[in-house]
Parts: sequence; structure tokens; C-alpha cells
Amino acid sequence: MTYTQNQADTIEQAGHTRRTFIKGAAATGLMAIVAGSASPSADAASFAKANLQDLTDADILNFALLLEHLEAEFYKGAVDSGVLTDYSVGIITTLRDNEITHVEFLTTALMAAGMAEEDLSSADMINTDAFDYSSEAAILEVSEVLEETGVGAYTGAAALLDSKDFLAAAGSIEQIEARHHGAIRFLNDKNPSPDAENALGIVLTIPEVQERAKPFLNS
Amino acid sequence: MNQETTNYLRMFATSRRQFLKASAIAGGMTATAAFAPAAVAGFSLGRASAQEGDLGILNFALTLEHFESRLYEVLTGDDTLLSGQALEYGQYYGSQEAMHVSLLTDAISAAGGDPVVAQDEYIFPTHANQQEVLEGLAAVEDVGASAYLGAAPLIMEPDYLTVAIQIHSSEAYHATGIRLLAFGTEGAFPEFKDPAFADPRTVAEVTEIVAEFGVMAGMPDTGAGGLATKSRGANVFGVAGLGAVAAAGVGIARSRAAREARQS
Repeated sequence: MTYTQNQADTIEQAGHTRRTFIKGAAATGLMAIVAGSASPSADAASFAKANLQDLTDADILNFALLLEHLEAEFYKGAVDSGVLTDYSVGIITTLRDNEITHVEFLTTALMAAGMAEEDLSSADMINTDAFDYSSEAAILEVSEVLEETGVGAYTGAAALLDSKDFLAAAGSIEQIEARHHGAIRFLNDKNPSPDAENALGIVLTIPEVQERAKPFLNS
Repeated sequence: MNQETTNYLRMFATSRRQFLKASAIAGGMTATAAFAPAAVAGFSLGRASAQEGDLGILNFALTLEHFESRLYEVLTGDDTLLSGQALEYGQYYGSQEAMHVSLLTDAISAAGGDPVVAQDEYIFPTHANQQEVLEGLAAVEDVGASAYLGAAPLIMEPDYLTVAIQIHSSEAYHATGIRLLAFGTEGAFPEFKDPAFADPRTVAEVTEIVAEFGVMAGMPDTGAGGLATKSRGANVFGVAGLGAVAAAGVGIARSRAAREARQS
């Protein structure tokens, strides 16, 4: 990967901005959300509103990266658990491979944008002990929640992104999450398409996503 | 897609059915409420640009939704070849497409635009059996999802963008459901360039594909030509998968640099 001098300068500048952001707003911003230490329960809406406006594209995508790590770690363990039958192992294996690719994509993209490695969401943040691999049904139940969360997270994030390039990437990943979600719903004997009332995919705010992810994150 | 549509040549001229409208209104009202703030806000500052860009894109989407809605109506109608779960999915997805029609129509109207109406005639495909119907529907739904994906980065108004992504999800759900019935779990997902990333289509590409169904898409009366070939998604993912990362990363850096320049 090579850059022109201008691009390199821009990336360096972005990296500097990123560090400044972390030092400044992070205490009450996204990192707190990610760490699960912030409490959105009091007033989730104003909490989200106040903090979202300070979030950069990189922060938002770093949060997406955390979710992708969560999905990837869950499916890796699911495939290795030995409890999946022919009924679901093909789909779950595909989902695992897709999520691993999403992790690689976002990691590479965020580093290219200047995010320091120590600031990147990592698999170490996932509490793998929280995963229930006791049965195929248990795995499919968690899969459905994770995929729905992925759909809602990317859909909610889309309008927050400044970069149209990253919007295109987020939309592309979002469609994959929706297809995953639909396939898992099918395996759970539901119609792949939810929301019979409005025919619209789910939208989640960052605090809502955090609430769903919390049980699977190390504190 | 082209292969799958080559034998779709018989002309239907069925009259439109009013139940579409009725069921759409019932289902669409709640969702449409989400549009109201955007539509109101659009009146002050954003209206001019909405007229030129966003409304044209929404009308392009509405053009496709009209077709999808009518296609399901025909394929699940009196002469349907579908039965059992396939018929159930077809009816359900058809009703959801009708909701999309209602939602987009109301949104465009609320923003002061002129929503397109359904065409009197389309070139509907003919099929010999249920499997062919499902394969045809899967292709149409995949095109629909790719159309929204390609168009989304062109939308300026955030609320419209969110709803476009939501409809995009719906199309992806439909595609998955139909594909599962047509191809089983092994064919649940399309063969994208990179399986982890859905491929977008430009307005021009979609327009060309749906022309085979007699759909007169494009961007009516809103500067269509300029938008027809633009798709950021196509640029980003023209090179499959991770090859696009460098460009995307630079995109982030550039957008942040631009924001800092504005602020200083």
C-alpha cells in the first residue's frame, strides 16, 4: 500500500487528530460506551445526541469493528464447538468467514486512516466465556440477536458517517448482515423478513447497540 | 440476470388492483411518520437540493418498487404457480413492496416532490413452474438491494438516507428468503465479488437491467443524466474487498481534514 505525499500527510494529520480526540472527549465519549462504563439508562437519547456529534467516522467504525470482533469470535467458537449439525453448519461457517473478513477490512481501513493500533477494538475485549454453545438451538438464538444488532448498528451509523466512501462500505457490509440475519431467522423457523408492520430494517442507536453487546464484553 | 431474463418476453396488461393501495396505506402510515421531520426541515434549507438530488433518487427507487409490487401481485395472483411456503413468502413480500411504494410516495409528496405512479404495463416474465418463479424473484430482489446500495451514498438528507438503508435491508431479507426457497442453504447468498461485501449497482446499470421488464427507470425531471452513472459504492468496490481499503481510509482522512479546514 503506497501513498502520495499528500495522502501520507493527510493520514498523519488524521492520526494526530485521533490522538487528540482520545485524550479530550474520550472520557465521556465512545470509549466509555465501548467499555460499558457509561450509563445511558438515565437519559439515553440526550446521552446519544450529546456524544454522537463528537464522534468521527473512525470512532464510529471502531465501534463497528468491536461488533465484528464479537460476531467473529462467537462464530469461530460455534463452528469449533462440535454441536452444529448439517442443518446449520454451512450457514454458520459462511457467517464466520464473512465476519472475519469484516474485522480485517475495518482494521486495515482504520489503520490506513491513522488510528493507532492500541486504540483499535480488539478480540481481547470480547468475553468469550459468555457464549452459550450448549446446543445448536442456543447458538442459533444468539446468532439471531447478534445479526439483528449488526443490521441495526450499521443502519444507525450510516447517516452519521461523513465520508461517502465509508458510507458505501458500511452499506455494503450492512446488506451482508441483513442477509445473515434473514438466513438465521429462516433456520429458526421464522420468515427471513422481519417487521411485517412497516417492511423496514431495524435502526439502533449506539447506546442501544452497546446495551445488546454488553453481556459479551469484558468489563 | 440477463440469462435469467432472456425468456421473459410476454406482455401483460392486467389492470391495477386497488387493494394494493388500500393495504399499503394501512401498513405504511406508521413508518411514514419517520419522514415528517425531514420533510419539514427540507422546506427551509435543504429543499432546493432535495428537489435536484434526493427526490430524484427517491423517485428512481419508487419506480423500482412499483414494478416489484406489481410483479409480486401478478406472480401470486389467480394464475400463480406458487404454493405452500413459496406462496406465503410471495404474498408477504409483495405486501412489503407495496408498503415501500406507499412510504416513498408519501415521503416524496411531503417534501414537495412529484411521486411517480405505477406504469400501466410492464413486461412480466413467464414461468413454467415454481422453481422458475423463485429464481426470477431472487434475481429481481438482488437487483433491488444492489440499487439501493449504489444509490444510498448519493442521498444528502440524513433521514432519507436512513430510510433508504432500511428499505435496502428489507430487499436483502426478501432476496434471502426467496433464495433459500429456490436454492437451499447452499445458495442462500449471492456470489458477490467478495462474499463479505454486497456489490452495488449504479443507477445506469439498474436502469438497463429493469428495461428488460419494460420499466422506464432513470431519473425523471431532476437532472437524471448527472446522477445516472455516479455511484460511490461502485468506485470503492470496483476492486473487490480489501483492495479498496486504502482508498476508503484516505477517504476518512480527507473528510476529517476538510472538516478541520472548515472549523479553523
